[in-house]
Amino acid sequence: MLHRNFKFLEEDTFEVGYNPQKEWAWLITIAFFLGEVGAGLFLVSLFLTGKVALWSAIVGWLIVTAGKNTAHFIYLGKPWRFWRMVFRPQTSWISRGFYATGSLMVFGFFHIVLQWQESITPLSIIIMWLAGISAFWVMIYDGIVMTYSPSLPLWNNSLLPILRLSYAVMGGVTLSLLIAGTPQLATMLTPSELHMLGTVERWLIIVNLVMIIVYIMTMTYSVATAKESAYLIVKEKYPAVFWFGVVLVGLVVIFLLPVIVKTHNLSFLVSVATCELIGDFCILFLLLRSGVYSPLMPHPNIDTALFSRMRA
Amino acid sequence: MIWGMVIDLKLCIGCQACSLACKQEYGTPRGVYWTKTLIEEVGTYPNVTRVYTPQICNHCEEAPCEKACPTGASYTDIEHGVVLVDYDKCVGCRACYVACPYQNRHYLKRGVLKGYYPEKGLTPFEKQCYEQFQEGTVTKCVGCIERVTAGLDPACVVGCPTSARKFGDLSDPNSEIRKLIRSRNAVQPMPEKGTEPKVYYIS
Repeated sequence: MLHRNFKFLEEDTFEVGYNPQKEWAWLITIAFFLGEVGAGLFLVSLFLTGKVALWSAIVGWLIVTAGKNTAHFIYLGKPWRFWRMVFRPQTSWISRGFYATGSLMVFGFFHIVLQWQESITPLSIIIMWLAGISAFWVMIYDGIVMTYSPSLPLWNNSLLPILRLSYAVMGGVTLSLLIAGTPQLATMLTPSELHMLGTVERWLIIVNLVMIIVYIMTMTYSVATAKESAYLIVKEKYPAVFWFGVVLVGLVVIFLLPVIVKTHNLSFLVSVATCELIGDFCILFLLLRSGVYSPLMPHPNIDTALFSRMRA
Repeated sequence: MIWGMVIDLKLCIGCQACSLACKQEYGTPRGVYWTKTLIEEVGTYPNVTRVYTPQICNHCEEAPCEKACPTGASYTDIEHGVVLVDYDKCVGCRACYVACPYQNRHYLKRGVLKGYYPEKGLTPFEKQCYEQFQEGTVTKCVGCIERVTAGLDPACVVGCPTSARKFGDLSDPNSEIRKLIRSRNAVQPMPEKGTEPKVYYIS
């Protein structure tokens, strides 16, 4: 039997092969990244107290409102029609994400105002809950948008939203630690809160490492196209980004740094946060860039040798 | 009438007459082919052959592009079962582009409607055809809905010199294509995606 070995196609051609998705590139990576990190920071802020909680909420809200939305706006082919995205929440996860971002902007704003005024009323608690649910929704919807797409086997995996959610929480915890480490706020966080954040961070690093391994392993045991995507990530096209950016800088270094370095000053926290964010961005970049379409075949199990004989 | 197509892979000779017929009918911009024939070289020398697979929008029953669209710009024409794009509603988010497993959607980048020879301006044909498109939106095969409504076959079907493409009514059990689907064990492209394409392949 003849061997059917598909090419990897860099450009759109008239050939059959593995075609990578190229439409969701840098701007979407930046938008998803900022959305997850910003919403993660906002959600983590709800578990903190005092000025650290307030500033974490403000920074998280600004990252989503100014960063994520701007990146999405620039990306759109017809940006001034963005309001039309309210019309399809019944089927489209992008439309649902539009609602999620909008509700985080509204409820998040009121939550920040009420927290600034140090108001604790039943209404402020309801708004805090609504803002928290919206932040969670923003954190998870990007992953669901990708999972919902049947075209790219790398994305079409139910582990993806959980992986993205976990990274979003880790980004939020890292940034809140960074905010807590600024000289003006350094004494504001209670030792129990600091311990909680440190413990959550360490566990998330381990969980993320395990999930990435499971994810890649699942891909290599999946359909040929998913395997192609996994190979692109770990050894063919982006091994440096994966091994150096995601694994070494994004997980191993941030896990070992707190063990090696004893003085946890601001520069140390900035280093850890930078490493964590690099790793977070790299894994999102890899997931978006390594999505490969399955080659078009009249039937997935077609026997090429038989096919050739029939043609002759 | 429900739009349906059967493509006989044994008859396709890879001449790309379908691509040209479509281009001639709709004047799609440079680099945009609503239909094309994919060419694949298989085997190792001297046991080699070329396999041709005509590709066109499948106008899926469960169109993932339509579900992914956040604005409702992608919709199914109920009368003919054809998936269409309302350019006035499209925001250019490309969710449909990413969601289509068959890669049958095309994004019209900025500047693409300047024609094949931008320095010389648009030809009268380009001027007329480009009126229907909008830069920054996604475009796709319209199933020659105007021709079909007028009782004609789609341009790619008419243009095929070997009659590899057959067009007909999927809702009529006695139509030629329904008979072909039954008698020749027709297969849909990527049935595992669950999109229920309206294009079938026989070989």
